Amino acid sequence: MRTPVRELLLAERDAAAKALLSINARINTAAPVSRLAPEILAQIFSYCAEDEMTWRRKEGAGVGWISVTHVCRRWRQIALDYSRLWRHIILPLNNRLAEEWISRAKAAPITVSWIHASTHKISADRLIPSTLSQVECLDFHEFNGIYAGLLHFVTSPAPLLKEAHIRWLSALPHDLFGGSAPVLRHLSISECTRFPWTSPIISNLVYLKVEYAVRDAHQPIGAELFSAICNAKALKKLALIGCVPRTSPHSTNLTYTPPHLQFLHLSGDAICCIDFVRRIRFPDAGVALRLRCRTFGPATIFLPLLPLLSIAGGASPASFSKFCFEFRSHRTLSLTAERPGGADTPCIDLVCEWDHGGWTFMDLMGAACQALSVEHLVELTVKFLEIDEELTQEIDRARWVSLFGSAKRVSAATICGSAVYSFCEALSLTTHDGRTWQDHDTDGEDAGGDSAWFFLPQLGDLDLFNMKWSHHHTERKLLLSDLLLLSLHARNKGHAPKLQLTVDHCSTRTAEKLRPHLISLQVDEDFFMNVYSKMDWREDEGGEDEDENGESEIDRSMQSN
Amino acid sequence: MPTIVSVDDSTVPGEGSSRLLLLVSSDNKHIVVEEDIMSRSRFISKQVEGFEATSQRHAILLPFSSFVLNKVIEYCSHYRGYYLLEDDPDAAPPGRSPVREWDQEFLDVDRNMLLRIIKAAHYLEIKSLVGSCARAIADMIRGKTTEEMREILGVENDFTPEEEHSPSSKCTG
Repeated sequence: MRTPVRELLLAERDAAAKALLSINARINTAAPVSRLAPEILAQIFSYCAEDEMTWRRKEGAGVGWISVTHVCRRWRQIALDYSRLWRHIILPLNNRLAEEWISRAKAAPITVSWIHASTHKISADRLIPSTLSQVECLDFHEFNGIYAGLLHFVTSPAPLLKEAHIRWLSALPHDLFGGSAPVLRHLSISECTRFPWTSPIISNLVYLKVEYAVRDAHQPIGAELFSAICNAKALKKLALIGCVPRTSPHSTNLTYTPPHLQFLHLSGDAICCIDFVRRIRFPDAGVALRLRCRTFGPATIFLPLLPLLSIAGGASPASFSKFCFEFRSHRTLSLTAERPGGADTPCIDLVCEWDHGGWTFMDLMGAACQALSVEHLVELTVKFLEIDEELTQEIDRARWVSLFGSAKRVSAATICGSAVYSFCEALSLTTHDGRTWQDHDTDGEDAGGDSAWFFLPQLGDLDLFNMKWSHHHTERKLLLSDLLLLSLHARNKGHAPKLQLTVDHCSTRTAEKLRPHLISLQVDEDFFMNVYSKMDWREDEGGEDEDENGESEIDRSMQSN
Repeated sequence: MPTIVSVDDSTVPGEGSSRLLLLVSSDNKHIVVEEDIMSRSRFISKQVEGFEATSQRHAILLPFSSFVLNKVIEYCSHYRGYYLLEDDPDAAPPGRSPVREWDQEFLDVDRNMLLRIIKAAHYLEIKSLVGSCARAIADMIRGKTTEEMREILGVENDFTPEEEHSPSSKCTG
């Protein structure tokens, strides 16, 4: 019931509310943040949104950044006017929200992501047709199922699509993107059972990754696949996982000459992978080659093909300087070979499983060494994560020496892993006083980390220089003694040994023994306080030259540290 | 547009490899700085080009205090000779400014100072500094409720009840 008095009071309340809003608006005008240009506020909002999107894609969290549109009218207006703020649509969203989001994105290119496995059904056919022409990036990488509505996304023409990551658990449609995705350069498909190799969209790609599901996959026909990738002249990165075709031995005309290829990742049956590699005319600069191979047949077929890897890794196999052999299990080898210059340079990264077939551990090492030319080896690492008695019995010392005897440039080598003792024992590695390796060290599973110093001198007349010896856990006097011996060995051969010693802990006595053979020494603070500072280095008549100020290089090194 | 006044040669010393500029802050402090240092500012670069056209030296009057100006100069001095993609007028704008550790420490200042610096950087067209400041402000408000954001940045709720409860305002995922 309305009375005149009540009407008056209501009017007065409305006026007061309006006045309050007006005052608030004036406060906002005077606020320092309100003096920022709209584009700066938009940039701030976009940082809030982008960071949260990155996080949300991982965690499936909410879109809390939208609360910036609830702060005040100016902020809301700036956010609504900045269409790029709304360009990242993360599904699943309910329909109303998705439509609102898209309307705010206006004509801005859109990224659509499916963030995590969900049974939440959206009416994607309502969302998609109006926006597909705007989609710049499609990310269904975490999509965990097939939803019929999403077929629109992968069968309609995508004029602005530049990048697509799609996890698709069945056969991809033949008319991928309607055969029209003129600016698509980056396509990553995972876990599909069939890929449309005849699709015209492949020809413009720079990056292509196709991963077939382990089961129910229809393996591509070699001719079809080669035809597809041969048309992709601009391809720089190619990854074929589980879909390397088995070609007929008579298909000699199937070759692939990728002028710009920089990275090749093949995973699957070893015979298929090696056959594929053999058909490639690699660019002179070489490529980063990653092979993940499984063999189901005798290794006799696989191992002789290993030398092909050196061709893949560059025109000159001599350029490989760093090898790492990692024996992961009884019959699994991980082999990496790198050129000087770091991770971006051509390399080989091979994981293979092999079965007996009459081939032994030493056969495998022999094939690998032949492929990779140990003459140019500078750094060698051998890791044994697991080694059993059977494998140990296959280790042949004489053959090992013959394999690595020509590795005269090696300046750093490491053997490590839980099975290193078995390995050293199998190679009959002994120390200078005739005792076996095992007698020397029972520290634990990582104790063999520097055991390479034992066996390398026995492999030939190695030029030992620039040796780096690092020890962080416990004192091992005998190891230090052996280091001393090796340095003497090098010195006797006319080389000036440059020994870098990094220690946390060793006794004064041992340090004094080593001192004449050190060029540089890095120590931690405790060592400096407890050992180094108490040592009378100057009185040692070892070999360290002093400069005219009476300072040795060790002292200078120490000071610089 | 800034006010430009002619200055006597003696006001701006130096004829070295890097010329000197005279910057005058809003509190009338005269700050002499090497042109190289301020070349990151597109605004200053454009002013200098104008000077070359008239063969006259000028002071550049800027609408912010010497305190803020000195902070900007400190930033520009730190990155003197460094290439920052955001400040390259010929490069495509990066998707987002990278996080630079030094910037985070440099911008560890109170809220008002941060707002003054970003305003000055925007005026001087130093995009890298604008980006770093914007990120610092975004860090301040990220994950906060609407009320907390208002509190942090001194903003009041000026929505009408109808605006506040409109359906589109509830798009919070």
